[in-house]
Amino acid sequence: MMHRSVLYSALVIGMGFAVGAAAQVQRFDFGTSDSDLAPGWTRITETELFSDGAGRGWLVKPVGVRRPFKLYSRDENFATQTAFLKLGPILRDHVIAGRNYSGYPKGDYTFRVRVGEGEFLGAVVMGVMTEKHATLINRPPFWWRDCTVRVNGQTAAVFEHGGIREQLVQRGKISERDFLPGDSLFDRGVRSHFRTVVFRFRGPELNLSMPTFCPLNALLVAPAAEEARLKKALADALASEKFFVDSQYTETKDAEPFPEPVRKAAEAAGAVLFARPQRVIGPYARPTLGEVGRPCGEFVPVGEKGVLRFGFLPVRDLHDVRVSVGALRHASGKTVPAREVSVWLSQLVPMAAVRTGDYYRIVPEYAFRYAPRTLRKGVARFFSVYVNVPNDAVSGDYAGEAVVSSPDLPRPLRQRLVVKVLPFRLDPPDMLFGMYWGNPFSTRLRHAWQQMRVPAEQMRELCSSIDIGAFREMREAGFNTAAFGPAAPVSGVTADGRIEVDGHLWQLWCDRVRNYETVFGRAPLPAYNIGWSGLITSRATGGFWGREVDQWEKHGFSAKSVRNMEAICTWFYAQARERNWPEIVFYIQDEMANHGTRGGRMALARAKLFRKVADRVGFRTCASMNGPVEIPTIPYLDIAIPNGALPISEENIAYIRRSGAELWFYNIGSNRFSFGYYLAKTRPKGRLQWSFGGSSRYVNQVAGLPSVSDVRYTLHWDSKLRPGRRNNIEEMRQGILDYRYFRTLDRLIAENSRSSAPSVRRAVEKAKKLRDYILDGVKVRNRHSGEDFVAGVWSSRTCQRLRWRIALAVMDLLDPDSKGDTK
Amino acid sequence: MGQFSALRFHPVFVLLARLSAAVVVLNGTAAERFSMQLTVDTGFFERRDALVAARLDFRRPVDISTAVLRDPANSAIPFWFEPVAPFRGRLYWILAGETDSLEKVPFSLVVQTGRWPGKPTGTRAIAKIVRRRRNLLPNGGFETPDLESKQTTTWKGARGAAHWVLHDFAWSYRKLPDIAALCRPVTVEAFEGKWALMFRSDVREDAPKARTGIPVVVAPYVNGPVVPMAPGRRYAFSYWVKFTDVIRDGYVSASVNFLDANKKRLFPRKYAINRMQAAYGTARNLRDDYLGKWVCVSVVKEALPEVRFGQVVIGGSFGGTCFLDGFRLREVGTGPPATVSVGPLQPVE
Repeated sequence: MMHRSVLYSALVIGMGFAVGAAAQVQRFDFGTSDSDLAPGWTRITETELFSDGAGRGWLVKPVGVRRPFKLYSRDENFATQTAFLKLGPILRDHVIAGRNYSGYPKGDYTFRVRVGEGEFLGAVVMGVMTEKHATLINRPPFWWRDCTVRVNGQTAAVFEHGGIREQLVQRGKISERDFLPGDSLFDRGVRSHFRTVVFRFRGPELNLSMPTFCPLNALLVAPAAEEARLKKALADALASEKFFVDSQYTETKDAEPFPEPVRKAAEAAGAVLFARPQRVIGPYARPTLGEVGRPCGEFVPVGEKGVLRFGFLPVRDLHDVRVSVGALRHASGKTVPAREVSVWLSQLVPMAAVRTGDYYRIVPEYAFRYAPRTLRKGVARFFSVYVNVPNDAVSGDYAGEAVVSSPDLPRPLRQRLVVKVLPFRLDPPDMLFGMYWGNPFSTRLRHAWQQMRVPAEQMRELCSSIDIGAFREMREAGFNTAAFGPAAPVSGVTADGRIEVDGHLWQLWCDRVRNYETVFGRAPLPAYNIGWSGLITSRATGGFWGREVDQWEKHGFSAKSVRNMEAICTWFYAQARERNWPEIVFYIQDEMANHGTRGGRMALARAKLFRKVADRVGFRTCASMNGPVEIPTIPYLDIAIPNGALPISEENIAYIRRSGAELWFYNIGSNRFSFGYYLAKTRPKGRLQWSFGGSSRYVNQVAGLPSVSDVRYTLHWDSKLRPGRRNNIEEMRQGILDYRYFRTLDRLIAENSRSSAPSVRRAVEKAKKLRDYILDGVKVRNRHSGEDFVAGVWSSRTCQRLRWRIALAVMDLLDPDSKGDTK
Repeated sequence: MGQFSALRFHPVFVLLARLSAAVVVLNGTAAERFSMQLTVDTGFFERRDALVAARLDFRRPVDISTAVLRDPANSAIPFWFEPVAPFRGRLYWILAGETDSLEKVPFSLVVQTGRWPGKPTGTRAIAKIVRRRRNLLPNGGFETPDLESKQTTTWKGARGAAHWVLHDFAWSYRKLPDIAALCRPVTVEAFEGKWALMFRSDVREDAPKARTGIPVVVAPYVNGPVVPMAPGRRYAFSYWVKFTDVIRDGYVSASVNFLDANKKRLFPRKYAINRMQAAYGTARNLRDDYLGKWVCVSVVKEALPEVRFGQVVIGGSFGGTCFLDGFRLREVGTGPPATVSVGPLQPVE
């Protein structure tokens, strides 16, 4: 890592030499008046209108336009997006003729510069990373809209983006690209967002025209005879920008020693396969002797999905690497057919590391279905083999192998796989598991829709396909509900109580509910945001919005707002009944404790109001609560959903139950333990977590955006528009399975506890002991419970070892006299 | 048997037995050897070089300097022993390397009868680890006075606390008249021991930074001791607070600022990671939960790679009075300590 001021000095010196070498090239750097300027470049701000005296400047009133365009300069090295890569002096800022993605007038704006008579060459750099409100998920229209750049009236370049589907495919390709050790952050996250165009023109002047949404970052001009110099100057400028970005960050590595015997064997074979149970395998993993040749195993009850994970370390570059897994075979000849087996590879992405300074770590964060590819030497890869055990599988060990081949390997390598099929079925969950799901319209598609004028019907179709794909993947992960709300379809309420609806948004919401039912059936849908921004918006019910605490404190809820709120709820649930939707749980407010005691008071007032309306109209309410000041709202809620910052304690859980509210949890950790054994102890009716997809921060949306950002809550899609599998989702899936194992054990104990058969009684006693051991070990209280908190979360490895004990106990209860081989 | 058993536990008998045993030992009678099985249960957490502790009751005088602690491979390993009462004490040792969760690891301790040590004994390196696990902060309860307490412009107290530098208010408020803000070690309240730190802030409309109608909280601040910390290790920082009056909502906040090898503060890009902050917000909690009650505030964090020292600082933004006590900074594992079950003392042939 290099300090930015040092970096800039280095850049200045480097570019100074370049200036000397290419003095005939005029260089203009467009942007703000106070941002860094590279030596030898001329600053052009938005205020420099063309004048004969200066011989350069903007033309902002084209023929036919009533008012001149207003120009803006923007520096994108802003502070609010901490994970955003800081850019060098040329790319960091630009001038543009509009803002806030809907504020771009039609037409072209022009930069004119007098160059004298003769033939010339020019080069422009154009790029913009964000829109005005960078913490929102705005993407600039330059990313979406086709446009033409003209030079002296002639077309110099046409930027075409293709249709919305092509764009989604393109984004999938970015997500499929690995970031390997030594790769450039600039190349991955910055360069592709900047367009460069080199063009030829004749003097005496250059008129560079482009649509108002096109940013202008840099312009270079040189006599035609100096083509080589101009191109070199452009290349030098981009190289300096690359140096600036890449020098900011240092990779922090979790290097492992490579035992000599393993290394030698790997060099002879070209690569090595290894198994490391319950551990994530990063790019610097190096197998120990014990890990090589070790079978990769998993135990799975019939009808469930297991995952076998192994590492693969090429010691030379391998092209066209193929990984195949055939059927898994039982000694009896029965098989788990190959169609039930799929191979996935975790993609490597850079993520900011928690260190002093600017560091990143390369992590295998999410997996896509494997397709043949080149694997680079020295980079360990993390493979997952998912196995769906059929409902009719007989119990016992099923063996198979993953065969890895490449033209660069002397012979294929084989990893032994063993699935122990357990002779019982897991009970279904007796509670709801769900994750927050961002509206695809608001997160993935809204800007495209607005900027590309995608037809409404196509947008509906796209939203639905994304919804269905995500819901199915959620179900695969064990979730049986999803938490999401509508995108503000109510635009107002008339004086006579009629609800005014935005037809397009309402249609999208109806589609979503239908898609939800297709995948999750009639399970209750906790409609997150519905009550504080989805339906009850400030547009329709002024002062009612969840965040309008100041206004509420001064004026309270107006009679009109309350009336409108009631009217909206009545109308909405009438629609729900008419359309026979699954139960929509009305989420009245979100973490009002974040606004302190005032937020707590507003939360209580809202809860009381909604209680009356809910009782009259007939729906259930819920709220997520992020602090003690929201505890008074509990008696007015049907479902109380503590978040991590509410003191979760035995006393508060008991209070929720005494108050007649259901206990759910939200955001108490995206890990296996909090989805499994913690729930076995606390017994809530629901467990929700943010977020399956639709991360709200712009730079976290796609792995290829200009950041070393946090994509842990982003749903990644491949170029075939299939959802990927994130590590933390897999952890939660395992947690849900733990919970189901525990529930199965609990039921069998209850069913067998009256048996008089000695073997059954013995099995019951053993199982009870195990159950009590687990329950006694779970610590209910979180760190906000006013105690000297150290830690309470069990590792995945501990959870797995307990699961195996539960599996043994379950088999014992099912067949107490047996000493079968599966035990 | 019953009669003997009752007599055996009678306090007078126990005392006599112990005295006579001591006399025998002092007279040079041949020492007897005993062994005891110590089984470490890792519980629900994986352990790495974990410190484990066992309470031992030998019921007879033993010479700890003759004791040999053996691991499952029968190798002698270092330990630290602290007597807490005659023939009783705590034994500490390291569960070396990585040990899985849900494991029971057997150790054995062989010891001879002999002179009861009366003072801690064993390997000092382990003693050092024990201290790190207890409390790195000296005088975390303000029990030891600062004998050289000097009054300054911003502190007017008579009795300071050793290792803590107290300030009644920030220098910028020095010209305000009659500032009520102060911090003092006092005995009117204490969570543990006799002393606690009274922390009283003033709400002022005449402060330079006060905008029209928006008063400013003038609060004390405290710089605590600088203590060594190690990179990559997990620390728990905690303290107890009792609010007695709150006239304006805000926070009391204590942090351990991470310092580098030169005892300078670290300023990473994500600034919030450069300290362990444990704050209690009156606006985030119900008055019934904190007013007139001792509440524990704690945070657990792994020290950044560059951390070599830590310094406690205390500040506040609430208006009113609270008392602070029981500051602890200690190294912790990934979970609560492993438990040890102690077998009976058996004579060795």
